[in-house]
Amino acid sequence: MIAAEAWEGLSSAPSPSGDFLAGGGALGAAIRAFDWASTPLGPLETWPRSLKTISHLVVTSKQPMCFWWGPKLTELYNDAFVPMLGARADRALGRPFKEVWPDVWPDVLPLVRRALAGEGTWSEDLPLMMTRNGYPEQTYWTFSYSPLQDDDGRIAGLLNIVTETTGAVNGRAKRVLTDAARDSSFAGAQRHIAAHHVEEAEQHVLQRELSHRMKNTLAMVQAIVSQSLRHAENLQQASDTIAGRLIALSHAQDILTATNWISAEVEAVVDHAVAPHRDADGRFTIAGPPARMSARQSLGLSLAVHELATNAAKYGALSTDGGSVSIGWTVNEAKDFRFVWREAGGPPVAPPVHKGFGSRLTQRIVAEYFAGRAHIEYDATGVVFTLEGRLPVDETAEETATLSSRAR
Amino acid sequence: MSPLVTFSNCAVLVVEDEPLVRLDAMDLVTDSGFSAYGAPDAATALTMMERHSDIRILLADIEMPGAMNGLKLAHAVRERWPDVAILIASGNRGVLKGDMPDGAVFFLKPYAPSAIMQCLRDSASGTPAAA
Repeated sequence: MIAAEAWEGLSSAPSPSGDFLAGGGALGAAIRAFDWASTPLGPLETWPRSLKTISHLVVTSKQPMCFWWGPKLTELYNDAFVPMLGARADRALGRPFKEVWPDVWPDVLPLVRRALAGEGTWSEDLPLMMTRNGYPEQTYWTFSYSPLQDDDGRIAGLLNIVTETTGAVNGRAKRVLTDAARDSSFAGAQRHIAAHHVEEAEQHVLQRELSHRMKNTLAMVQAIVSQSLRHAENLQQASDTIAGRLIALSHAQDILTATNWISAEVEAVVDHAVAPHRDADGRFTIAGPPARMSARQSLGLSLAVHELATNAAKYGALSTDGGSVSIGWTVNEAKDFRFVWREAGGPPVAPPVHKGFGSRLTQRIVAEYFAGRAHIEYDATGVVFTLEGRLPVDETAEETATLSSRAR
Repeated sequence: MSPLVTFSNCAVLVVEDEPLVRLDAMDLVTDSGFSAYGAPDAATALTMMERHSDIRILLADIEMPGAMNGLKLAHAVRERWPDVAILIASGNRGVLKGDMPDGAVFFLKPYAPSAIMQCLRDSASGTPAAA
């Protein structure tokens, strides 16, 4: 039966020879104008029927497609495929596969070989590290490779029907991280990840990242425990000190989890770190402009403020009813950061006899996180702690740098 | 804690980007009877190697910022200072023996302080490190 309603009124006359590119948009025109004699495909008019047919199919399609043909796998594609080429769009037509896509060639070569052997392939959300706009990008692709036959029935190339899914995959990953952040326990994060049926590759990336953060945290915990034991007078004291420091670390992690582990506001970190000591109104005055710290700086400042508050509660301004602490900071356009903790109304203070972990932490270690200096003065009026250093210009830079160095 | 054994004129360079972890590792080195130097990255570590001829042992973390990670640093140190013993630590299990210079010893983080201590002393007294 003829599907008359589909064909009715349409011309069945053949298009003029060589006009297999009619209706092919910008790429149809570009293919017509291209000097094919300089490629293994030869001049346009000598192309076999099979090559014309596949060219017609591709250039008239609105679905992103490209195909590779001949001994060098010379590349042709349609208008819808152009955005996927990024900056290489102006020099991809008529060039060999390997020269257009050197960054992903090793990853896709096994798939190319399967297609050239006659077997179609299907890949869903395949992660490919791609340098198409001058910098490496993590991209995801759902695509099929199909073998293409020439007029004699020999396989002469392969067709790529493709959709870029980078946006969709990142969107899903972000939702998972956001949901995981609401339930901030590690087990909670894992439950959320499992519940979302995230694609395997993506789940792998997330778990590797979680595992890396866990390892970093465990290394810090090991150092904190070891240092606390080293300077403790007895086990009860060690136990209390360790618990206090781990709670401070945990508070900073909560803040970081909410921001995807990129940065945290100074005010939020300080607020959380002094919270356990806020036993009366007016104990703390906290004032400073919005200022974002890197993940490491956030952990470091949280630990330092915890040490200062603990000492103040034992010997300083927080050990008496009328004592108070004013905490302030400034940051200029060059991201120079100055942070001051100033105690008042407490008993007279004197430098400690033993320099324990607390003073090494507040001075040497925190200074290094901020690439600057820190010192404590034991003024007659109370302890003054000053930290001078730098905030990240782009707080995402550090995280990105560590991620890429790990990827190597 | 004062060390039971001391290794005079024998120093250990600790390369670790996390200051808290580096400080603790340097204390462990001191407890083991050595003097300790610390560096936050590979570039600083190489400068310290050039300046301090008493460094006999390198204790390096693999994951570090900068162009050179701990493995590349280990190879660079082996090439220029072949007599320096190399200890490599990482939280990542996937480090292959072939990635490290010959004779380097690998420690999975977190590590047991006593194992590091023993390995430092073995390295200093010339005992071949356990494979």
